[in-house]
Amino acid sequence: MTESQPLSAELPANFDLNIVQWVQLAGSPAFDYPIEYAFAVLSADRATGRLDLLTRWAPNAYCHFHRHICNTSALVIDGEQHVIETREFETVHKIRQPGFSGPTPDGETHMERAGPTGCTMLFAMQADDGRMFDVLSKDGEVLATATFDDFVENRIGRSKAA
Amino acid sequence: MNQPQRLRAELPEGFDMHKVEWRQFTGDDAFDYPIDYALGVISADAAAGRIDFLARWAPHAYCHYHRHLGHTATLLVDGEQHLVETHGHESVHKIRQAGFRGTTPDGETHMEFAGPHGLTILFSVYAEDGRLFELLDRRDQVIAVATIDDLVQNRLGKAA
Repeated sequence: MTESQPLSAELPANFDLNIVQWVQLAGSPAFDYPIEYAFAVLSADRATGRLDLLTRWAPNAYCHFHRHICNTSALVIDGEQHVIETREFETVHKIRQPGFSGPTPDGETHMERAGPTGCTMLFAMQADDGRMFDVLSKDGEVLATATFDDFVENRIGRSKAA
Repeated sequence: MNQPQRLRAELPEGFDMHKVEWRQFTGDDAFDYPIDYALGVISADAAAGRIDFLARWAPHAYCHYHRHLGHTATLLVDGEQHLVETHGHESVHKIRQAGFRGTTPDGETHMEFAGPHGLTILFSVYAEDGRLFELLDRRDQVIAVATIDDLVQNRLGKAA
């Protein structure tokens, strides 16, 4: 677990989303839910372990089931974010609209998908050890761990989550 | 706000649900959602700010939109509980099954309704000043305050 620090996810002033170079990810027969999303590194600072990551989901599509393993702050930029956490005896479904900003606790595990018009988010993350997400099977087994270097060096989608 | 106490909602051993004296509540034209639930006091000590009571919802029915006051421990005895909290840019829908245990913080505000087979919950509450809930309208204005004395003396539904 990473020590909590106050993080704020904010787009730079006048940032143009239309010039973002997205890395696209899609599902496979190994996953029984529709996976279609893309990410783009907005900024990265290896010295502090801080990574700001844009993520964009297709309408009603999921990203991979995952566990956050670093300090994370999220901002919904466009569309609708659905986060579904399942625990013994309880399911929690969070629906967030543009303008929402808030922290995601280290260790939180959830399914995450877009609403009917898709979803675009900014995640500000800080990881002392560079580990940012565990990608999980439905049984909670770790399939892959996405790190700071994976995002910065564009290795995700080749050897990791997809 | 009240200081939290260590609480655990627990039905007394051998408790017979059939002997509960339920007080029934239903909605009226002032509410645009279907209200049909009942309350039954298990034990109460108003001087200590403590009450344990059961609440039972009809299938798919709501209780009044409300804010919890005091510190509350819950045990979901039967059925399915749905809680919907709305804040700013976020709504949170919690769906809980029989066996769920948890706490409800002082000040939590939510809509609460039953799943398709109804719902029975035990609430164990510590409210230092005796105030248990605020019943709210859709604009979060307080319509009524329910106290330990209201439940014990069966005044709810007459004043609210």
